[in-house]
Amino acid sequence: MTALAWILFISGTLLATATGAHDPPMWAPFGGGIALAVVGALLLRRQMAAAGGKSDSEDGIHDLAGLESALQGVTAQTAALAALPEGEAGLRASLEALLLDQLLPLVEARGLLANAHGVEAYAKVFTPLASGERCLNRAWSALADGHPPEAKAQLARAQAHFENAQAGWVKG
Amino acid sequence: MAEAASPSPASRAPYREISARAIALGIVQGIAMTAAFTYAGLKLGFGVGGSTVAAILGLVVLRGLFRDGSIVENNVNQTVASGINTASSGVVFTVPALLLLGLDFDPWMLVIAAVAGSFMGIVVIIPLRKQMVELDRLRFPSGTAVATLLKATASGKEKATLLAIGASASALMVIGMEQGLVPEEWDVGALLGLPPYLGVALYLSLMNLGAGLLSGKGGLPFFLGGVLAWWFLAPVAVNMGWIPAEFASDEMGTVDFLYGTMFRPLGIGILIGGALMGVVLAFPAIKAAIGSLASAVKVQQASGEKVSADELPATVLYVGIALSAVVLTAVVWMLDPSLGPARIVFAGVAGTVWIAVAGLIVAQATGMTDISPLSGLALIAVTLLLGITGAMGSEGGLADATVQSAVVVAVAVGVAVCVATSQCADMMQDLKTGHMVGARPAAQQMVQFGVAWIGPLVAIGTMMILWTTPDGSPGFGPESAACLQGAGDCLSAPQAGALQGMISGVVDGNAPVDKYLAGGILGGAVTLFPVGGLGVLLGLAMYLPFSITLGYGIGCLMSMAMQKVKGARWMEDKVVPLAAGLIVGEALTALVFSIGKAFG
Repeated sequence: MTALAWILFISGTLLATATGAHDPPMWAPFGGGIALAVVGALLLRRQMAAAGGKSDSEDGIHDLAGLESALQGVTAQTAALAALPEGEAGLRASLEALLLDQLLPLVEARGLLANAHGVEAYAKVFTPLASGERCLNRAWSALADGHPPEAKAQLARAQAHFENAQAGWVKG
Repeated sequence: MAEAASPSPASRAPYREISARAIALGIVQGIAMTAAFTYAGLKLGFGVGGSTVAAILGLVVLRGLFRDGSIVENNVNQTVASGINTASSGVVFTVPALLLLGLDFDPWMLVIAAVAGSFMGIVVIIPLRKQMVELDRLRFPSGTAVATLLKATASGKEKATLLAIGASASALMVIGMEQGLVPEEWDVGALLGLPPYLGVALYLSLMNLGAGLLSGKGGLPFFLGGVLAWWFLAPVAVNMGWIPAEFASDEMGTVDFLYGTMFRPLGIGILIGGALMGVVLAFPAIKAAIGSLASAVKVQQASGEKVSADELPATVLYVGIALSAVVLTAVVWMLDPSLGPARIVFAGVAGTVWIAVAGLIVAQATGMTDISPLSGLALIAVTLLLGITGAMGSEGGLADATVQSAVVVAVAVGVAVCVATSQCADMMQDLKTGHMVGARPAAQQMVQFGVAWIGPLVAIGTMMILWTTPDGSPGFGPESAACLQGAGDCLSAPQAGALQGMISGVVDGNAPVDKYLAGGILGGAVTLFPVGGLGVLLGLAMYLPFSITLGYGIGCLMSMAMQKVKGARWMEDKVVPLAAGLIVGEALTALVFSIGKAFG
């Protein structure tokens, strides 16, 4: 079925591109190509949704459970950093580790959620998550600029955003 | 990596972001760059970005001279500077066409249209930021490069070294090209004995390669679109005898026909259809993202902070769009009241709707590839307006006073579209930079609103000064005394010359509307494929020469291979700063050479 969907999409796109680029366009074969491409694309969409939010990638997060667990991990670690006293030594290194080792794999695997539950459910989680990420980035900048109070405030805000993302997950 | 010092008394003050000195520095740089880039654009035919230069000057002044400038404060400086100078590329492409056509017009009407476009460009990116920066997480290569630059002084020695290596390599390449030691394009096809219509030439730009490296897998459809056009469609067209005899007799004539008559207009249509279908498919996410503008405020309230909101409210979007429609309608009315109320309102509203669509296209295109198809979008605007005003295919041609008036209206709306899309492209890159350094989007957007009127005024003012010569002869253009004599101070305004030719073609009824329509349908269909932005990338690939797409594609393929072997963290640590350096180095060196050439 997947092979058929690919064949329909590719052959339809090639036919429509060639006949559409012809001067003047060859409308009848162009329409046929468009029909094939649309059917192929819709079949591929349906199959991707049926895969149920699973990825066969060799590294990173493979399924929705892993994605949710990663989100909980990011929230917990942000809360832990937010609870540290202002000006704590090593905070920037811990923040970098959170951004690159925990948050980056989470966003790399974001397609799992959209494929499984659609773009609205995805937006409910990843919009607040992105806001939280921006707060973490600001906290990093503030630490680099020697401004620990701002970093602490931003960590608290990031935590609130990540909790919103978790709440969005339940609703989604 | 060194940890920040313990809190100083200064650190108890609010973290500095919007400051008078950052805005002032940005305005001074922005005005200087706008005047210089307008002159350079009229002379050389291409624009240059100003964010990189502004960020480096910001590092020198705010962090070097004042010693206490913050990363997000420097981001405000570069946002202001680039937000002003971005108007130059929009103006240089459009306004001189009216001068070259010898039409009478009130420059102030064009200034008003350009300012309306500039504001509209900021307004439409309010929801687009949520969609493309936060949800789609597009790479915006230049924005990523500037963020890497802003953070460079605190990112550790290794990242700074990689940034410097990339910048040096890129700068050396540009210097080599300028000195004639390295060709701009490497004609691999000629080396292999392949026909020119396969387009196997490589644009030797390390900035282009860097953009591909940063985009990775997400940019691959762009490369495949080029392959589809030049390695499938071109041989099919040649072998099926689709090239007219007058072009087929000459190899370069074949290439010109393929690119100019078949690929480019179809590509513009695919861009439009792809972007519109993208909106339809992403509508639930866009709706949720706009809803989140309100929830972001709630988070701030929940955390008990007394800070200004991070996000501009959705009301700004609605009011801004309505105001833009009113201003554009007023400009159309003042330029040509004889059009009648229905056509005047239709022209104003259509111009505004097209700005929103063009903004969407340019935001996606720059987000995925760093390339913004301004000229194609302005061309569609002018074609659309010539159709609305009834000048398309007019019997009287450009000699008819009614047609002349319609052309002025069309170009005025084209100015608004071109400035708006330039603003969109720049603002989206700035907001990506802002996301990466933790800037408040509302802060960036507010300062941009504050200065958005400056760029159009300076750019159009500079152009009118250059046009008005004491002896009454044309100040620039192919017919100017300097250009006719082949003098070094010739300002040929090549981009506007191209638009002038297009306008003449549209007025004579030669617009490739059938190709736009076919492309629009095709773009909509392929965007249904479950990979985001396929239509836009495919359209952009057909719109551009293959040499650019090929170099970018090599960067994408290299990035994918490295990510597979080394993983995402390694890519962020090593490849991002190196690729950012490639972009920064070429931008800076090309700018120096461009200004040098323009000013002799």
